[in-house]
Amino acid sequence: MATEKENKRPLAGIRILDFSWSVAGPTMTRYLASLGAEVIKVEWPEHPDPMRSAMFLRDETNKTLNNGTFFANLNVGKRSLTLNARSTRGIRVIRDLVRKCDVLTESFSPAVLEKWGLGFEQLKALNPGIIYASISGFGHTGPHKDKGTWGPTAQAIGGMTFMSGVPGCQPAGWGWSYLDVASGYFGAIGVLAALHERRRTGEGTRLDLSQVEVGISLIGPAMLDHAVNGRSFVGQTVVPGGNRSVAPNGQVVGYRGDEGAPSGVYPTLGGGPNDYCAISVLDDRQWQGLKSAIGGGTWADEARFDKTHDRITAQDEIDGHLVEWTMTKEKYEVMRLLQAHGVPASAVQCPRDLAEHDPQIGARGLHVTLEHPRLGRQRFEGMPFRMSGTPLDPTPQWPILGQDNDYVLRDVLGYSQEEIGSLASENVTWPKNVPTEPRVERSLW
Amino acid sequence: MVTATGFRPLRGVRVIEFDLGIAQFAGRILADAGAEVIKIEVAAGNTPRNFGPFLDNRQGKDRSLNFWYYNTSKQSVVLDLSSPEGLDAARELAAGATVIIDGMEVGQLDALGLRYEDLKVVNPRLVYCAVTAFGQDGPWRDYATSDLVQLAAGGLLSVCGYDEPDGPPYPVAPTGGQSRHIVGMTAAMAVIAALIARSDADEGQFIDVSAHDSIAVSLEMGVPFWFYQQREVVRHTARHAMPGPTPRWQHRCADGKYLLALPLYIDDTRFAALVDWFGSEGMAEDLTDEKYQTAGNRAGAMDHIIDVIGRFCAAHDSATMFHGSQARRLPWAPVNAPDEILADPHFTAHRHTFVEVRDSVSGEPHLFAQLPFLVGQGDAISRPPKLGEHTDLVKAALKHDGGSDSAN
Repeated sequence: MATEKENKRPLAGIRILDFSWSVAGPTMTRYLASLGAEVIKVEWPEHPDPMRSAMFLRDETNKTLNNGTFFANLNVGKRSLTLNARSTRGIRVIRDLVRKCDVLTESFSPAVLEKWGLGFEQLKALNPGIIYASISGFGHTGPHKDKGTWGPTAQAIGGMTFMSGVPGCQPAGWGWSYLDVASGYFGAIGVLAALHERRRTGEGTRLDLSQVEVGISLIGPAMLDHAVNGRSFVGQTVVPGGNRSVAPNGQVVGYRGDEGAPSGVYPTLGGGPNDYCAISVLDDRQWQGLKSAIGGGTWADEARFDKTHDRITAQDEIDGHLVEWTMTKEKYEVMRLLQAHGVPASAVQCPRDLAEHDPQIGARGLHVTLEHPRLGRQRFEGMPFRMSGTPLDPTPQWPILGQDNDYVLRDVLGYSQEEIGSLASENVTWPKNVPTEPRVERSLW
Repeated sequence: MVTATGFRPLRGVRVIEFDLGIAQFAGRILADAGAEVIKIEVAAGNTPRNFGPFLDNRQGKDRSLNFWYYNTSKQSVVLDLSSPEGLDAARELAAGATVIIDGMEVGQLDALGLRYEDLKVVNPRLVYCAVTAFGQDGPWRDYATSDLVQLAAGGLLSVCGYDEPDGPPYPVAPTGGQSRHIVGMTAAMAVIAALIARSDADEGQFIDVSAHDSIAVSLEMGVPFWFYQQREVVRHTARHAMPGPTPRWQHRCADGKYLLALPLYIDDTRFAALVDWFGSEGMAEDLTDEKYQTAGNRAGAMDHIIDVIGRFCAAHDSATMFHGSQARRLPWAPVNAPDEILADPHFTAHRHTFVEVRDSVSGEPHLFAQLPFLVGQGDAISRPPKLGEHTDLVKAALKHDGGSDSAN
C-alpha cells in the first residue's frame, strides 16, 4: 500500500498507456514511472517487446519472457496488460483506456496508430486532454518518415558518430545507443512539459520525437560552427580530435564546453583496457596544482608550460612526459593525487568499477537492491537526482506479462467479471496455445 | 526583443540561473520551452563566453558559438555577488523566482548568503535545483571536473573507442560536451516534475542533480551486463561495447563516406532481399547458397557475410547504399558530417528541425537546431543574450514590484 509520502511523487495520479518497446520509449516511461506515474505497458505475447529476450542471468537455464534482466532494469515500476490490438475487441479496450489515461506513448513506425483508427485527432475526440508522445527514427512527417533507425544508425545520420574519433582514423562512434537513452530523456521532458501545460489549458499535446533530431540537437556547438561560420567537416582529418578540446594549432576540436591542455586519457599501472586516468588542465592555476602533485625537480617546472596558450601548442610534448608519471601509478591513485591539488582528473571507470569500486555511487546509493518476482534480489539503476519532498527510487514492480490484466480491466475500466472472462476466452487478452510463462529459445544477447 | 512563438509550456515560470557551465543546458531546455530564464553573469561574462568557436572566428564575449548554443532564449543580467548591492538584487530575484538553477560549485551560493533554507522562508514555493558534478554529498563531492573527466568517471569513456586495428587502444571521448547535455536533460526533467508537484503542494523543494549519477545510469547495457552476468564489456569501433567480439558494421563506401550496415535483426525476409539486391549486380558471391537461408546458419557465418557486405559497400556510394538498404527494410545509414544534415530537406524543409535565429552582433540569421520535443510546435528559440543585455530592465522591474512569481 502506498504511504503518504509515496502519494506525493510528482506524477501521482497520472496514468500512461505505453505501447513503446525496445529502449528509447521504455526509457522515457521508466523515468515517468519513477516520478510517480502509473505506466501500463501493453503487449501481445506473440510479438512482445524484443528486449524481453535479451540478457538473462548468467546461469539461467529457464529463459522466459518474464526473467530477462536488461528488460527488468529498463521496465521497473511498470504494469503489464496483454491485449491483441489486431482484434476489434482489443481496439475497443484500447479506446476505453484512452479515455482513462493522461498520456499515450509508442515507438512504432509512423502509420500504426492511424491504422488502428487512433491518430491524434481520434485520440482527442476520445479524450481532449490526451498527451500523445511517439518516438521514431525520423519523426512522423517528411520524406524519410518510413525509414527505420536503431540507436546506432540514428547516431550516424544525425552527425554524432562522425564527431567521435581520433584524427586520421575512421569514426569511433558511440559504444552504446546514446540516442535511445537521450530520446527517452527528451521524451520524458516533453511529456512533463505537456502535463504542465495541460494543468493550465486542459488541452493535450502531440509530441512527435525523432531520434535523429535528438542527435542533431545534441551535437553541440559544432553544428553552429558549420551553420554560422561555414566550417566544413567533410573530409577533415583533425576533427574530432580524440580526447582533446583544442588542437595544437588552437582550433577547437572537442566542443566540450571547456578548453585547455593537457587534455587526455593517460595509461596507468595494470595495463588493462580501462587502466587509464583522464586529466584536464583548464587553467594556469590547475597547471600549478599538477606540478605540485607530481613533485618538483621535473620537466614540468619549465616556465614555458605555465601559460594555457603555450601548453596548447606543446600538447604532444607534455603528453609524452605526463604518461611517464601516470604509468607508475594505479588509476585511482593518479586521480586522488591530482584531485588533492585541485586538478580535474578521474580514473576511466568501466561498468564494473561503477558497480563495485566507485565510492561516490556507493555513498549516494545510486544502485538499489530490489526483490524481483522471478529474479530474486538484484541490483537496479536508480534515479540520478533526488528531490527533498518525494522519494524517487524505482518501486519494486515489473510488467510480468498479463499480470495486471484484471486490475486494468476491472479497476481502471470497470468491466464486469463476465466481460473480462469473455475477453480471455476469445483470446483478446491472451493468445491461444501460449503458456503463461513463454519460454525464450535464443537470447538476443 | 523578438519573442519566439509556438508551444510555450513553461510560460510564466521564472528561472534564475547561476552557472559555471554545468547547468546551462538545463537552463536552455527550460528557456526554449517558454520559461523566462534570467542568467546571472559576472561583469566580464561567464566563462563559457570565452570558449570558441567564435562568430567569423573573431573572439568576443558576444561572439562565442559555445555560449550561443547553451544560452538561447535566456536573458543576461550582470550582478556582482561579492558586493552587498549585487547580493541584494540576487536575493530579491530569488524571492520572486519560480525556480533557481544552481550550477555553481557545491556550497558556493550558500557561502554567499543564498542558502535554500533561507530563501524558502521568503519563497516557500521555490524549486531549487542544484546541478553539480558529483552531487551534494559523498567523498567526491568537491572534486574538480571537466567534460572529459566527467565522461571518464561516469563510465561513458570506457565504452567508446576502437577495435585495435582500427585505431588506438585507449578510450576515445565523443565530442560535444555530452556530460553537460546528459545532466542538463536529467535536471530539466527533475525541475518540470517539481513544478507539477508544486501545483498540488504548498511547498517547493530542493533538487540534487549529479552529473556523475546522470552519466552512470545512461549507458544502456554496460552496467546491467555486470549486475546480472558479471561480464565486462569491450570497446568496438562505432558499435556497442559488448562482452565479446561482434560483427563489424562500419564500412567505407565508394564516395569515401562510411556506412553503418547493422547486421542485427536481419531476419530471413530481409536477408533474402539483401541477397537479391547484391545478386542483381552480380555481387552476392556465395550468399545465394541454401546454407545461409536460416538464421541459425547465418549466425555462424556472420564474419563472411559482413565481408560480402563490405565489398558491396566499397563498390557503391553511401547515398545509394542508404536508399537501397532502407527500401529493403534494412535500417542502414550513412555516417554524416554535421554539415550534411543541413543539406537534407527532410530536416530543413519538411520537419522544421531548424529555426532561423538572428544573432545580436551581426543581425544575420543562422540555423539553430530545435530541441526535439519542440519540433513541429512552432519556432521555440530566440537568440542568446548579449552580456548584461537585460541588467537594467530586470533591475528596474525589481525596484518596481520586487519581482513576482507568476506561475500557477
